[in-house]
Amino acid sequence: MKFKLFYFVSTIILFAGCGGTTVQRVAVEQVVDYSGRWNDTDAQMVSKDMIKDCLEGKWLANFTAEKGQQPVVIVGTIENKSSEHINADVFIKSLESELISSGKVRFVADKGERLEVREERKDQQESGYTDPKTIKPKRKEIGADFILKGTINAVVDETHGKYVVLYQVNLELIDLATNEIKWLEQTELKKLVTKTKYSM
Amino acid sequence: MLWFSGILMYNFSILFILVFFLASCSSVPKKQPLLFNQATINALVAADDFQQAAQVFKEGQEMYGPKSKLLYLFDRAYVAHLNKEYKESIRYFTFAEYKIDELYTKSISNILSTWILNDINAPYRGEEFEHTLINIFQALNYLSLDDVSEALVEARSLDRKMNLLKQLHPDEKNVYREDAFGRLLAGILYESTNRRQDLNDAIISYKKALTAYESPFYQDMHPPPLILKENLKAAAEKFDRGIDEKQNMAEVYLIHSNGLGAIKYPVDISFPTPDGYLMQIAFPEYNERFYEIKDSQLAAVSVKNKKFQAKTELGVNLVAVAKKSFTAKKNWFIAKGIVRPLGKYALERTLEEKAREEHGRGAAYAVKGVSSLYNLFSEQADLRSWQTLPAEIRIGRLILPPGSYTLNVSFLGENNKILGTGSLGEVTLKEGEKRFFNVRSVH
Repeated sequence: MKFKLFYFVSTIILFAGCGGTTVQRVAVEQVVDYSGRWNDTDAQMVSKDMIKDCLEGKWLANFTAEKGQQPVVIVGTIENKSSEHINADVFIKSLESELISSGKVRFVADKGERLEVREERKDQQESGYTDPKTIKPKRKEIGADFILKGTINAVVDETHGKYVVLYQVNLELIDLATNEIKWLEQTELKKLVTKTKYSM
Repeated sequence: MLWFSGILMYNFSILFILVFFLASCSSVPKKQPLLFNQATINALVAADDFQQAAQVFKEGQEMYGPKSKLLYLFDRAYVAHLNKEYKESIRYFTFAEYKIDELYTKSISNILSTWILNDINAPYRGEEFEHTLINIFQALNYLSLDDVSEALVEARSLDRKMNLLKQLHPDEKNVYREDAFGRLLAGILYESTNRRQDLNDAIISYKKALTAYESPFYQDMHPPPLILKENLKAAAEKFDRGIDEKQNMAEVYLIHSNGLGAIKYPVDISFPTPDGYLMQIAFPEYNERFYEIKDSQLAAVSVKNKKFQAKTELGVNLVAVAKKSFTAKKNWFIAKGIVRPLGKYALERTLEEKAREEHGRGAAYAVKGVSSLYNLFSEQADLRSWQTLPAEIRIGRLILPPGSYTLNVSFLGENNKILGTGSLGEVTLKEGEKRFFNVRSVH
């Protein structure tokens, strides 16, 4: 009996260090959750829902009727007020993608991108390398009519081994001329995350 | 496992040696590469050569071995922080957070092997105060990149960890369950946004910091920094009565990481059993390292040559925190260090008897000899700890009128003797602005 115990224990020890890496390709749209943190699926789900709601708002019909053209929108900052680092760029790009593919609004580059484009235009105009017929002129940039900005909050209720997190994403569309908030939406996403205390 | 059973049938002695030495390959403490590589990094940090230490990390991945991955991430991230590679540091501290999450699930086979072989067989999980230091250093990384918003994420993450610790130790007052310095830093971060809703969070953080400094765990280490009391009073006045003591002013904070943290050394007790086995009990203890710098002073000189200066205060004594955290677990380590050799002894005695029955006295002596050697070799204290940490973190602050300044720091020894100086460069401060500077001294 004692000998069997020794045999069993030795086997456990030998296998304690075993392991390896496996890689598997998955479809981009497949939902994969490991840690429970905010991930690409959350960003896509929330942006899709919120932009759909935004584009169904009265502000769009009113603007189009009044001005006779599609509004020009820019995505501003999405402030992260949660306890985890959220890559706001992924969320912002999801929002931009939904806005552009809707075909209902026109879209202009954000502040950082504009600076880069201006540098490029400056190079065209000043370097002497660009065919003069193809040089893009200054003062042709389109000014946005609205800015879309928001916050991501998270409320966490946690105990050892499990937690519930409620993400609350607030987006608002502000008229750049008047500071009037034309549309406001709040979306919530709740996750229950449980961790296994022991494994073999 | 069939081949294993086959050998078992034919030659018990060979199997015995094979099992222990195969197990040794994966489980018994590896002096290389962990201890050697960690000592190399440690020596470079102690020599103030952060650049070379960062370079060593870039040349070798997995330097500390698979069981000490978290330790590797701690050191790699902190060395990058010291070398002012803040984005690199953020990346590796983030990996460290992921690793801590991953290590929540404990392997039963690993736990068993720590009871049979050695604590080093278990992955390094880090101490609770080390986990919180990730938030502190990450916040300093983000502040160095002028990203207060992401630094605030660290303040919220720290709050989450503290809430969990309080659940884990609901009634134990003298254990690490609140981070006084982390709360102070969080308060300063909340205050730095200059938004009313964050000011409320700042007051809560300051109050928690004060309660922590006055708790049994911290109270015999050092008094709460005056900066904390001043900030709490000013923030409360501003929130409750709208009186802003720091109106029209800017603030410069200095975070000074000083000295070298405590390291573990082994306490090995070897003894023979009455029947001739050599046994060993081993457990770790903390040893402090000497550092000469005792204090520091932040100075600002305006363009009109007006000089402002303030001494730093002790924010956290990490040596004391490490030792006190360890003391709470020490009895457990010692108990494990005693039970483990007893278990080994019982198994070895069984094997010896079996060998005597099947192969005679010679085989029994061989088992005893090999077992004794194995006992001495395998029973070693787990000395793993985050060794590049400073001994203490000091904090200093100047409240200055907006304008341009040249900033300097002086490192002071006994009797305020200046042991070194450093330039923090020139800075132009706006009203209400808070700027943060980190310095590290090791001597």
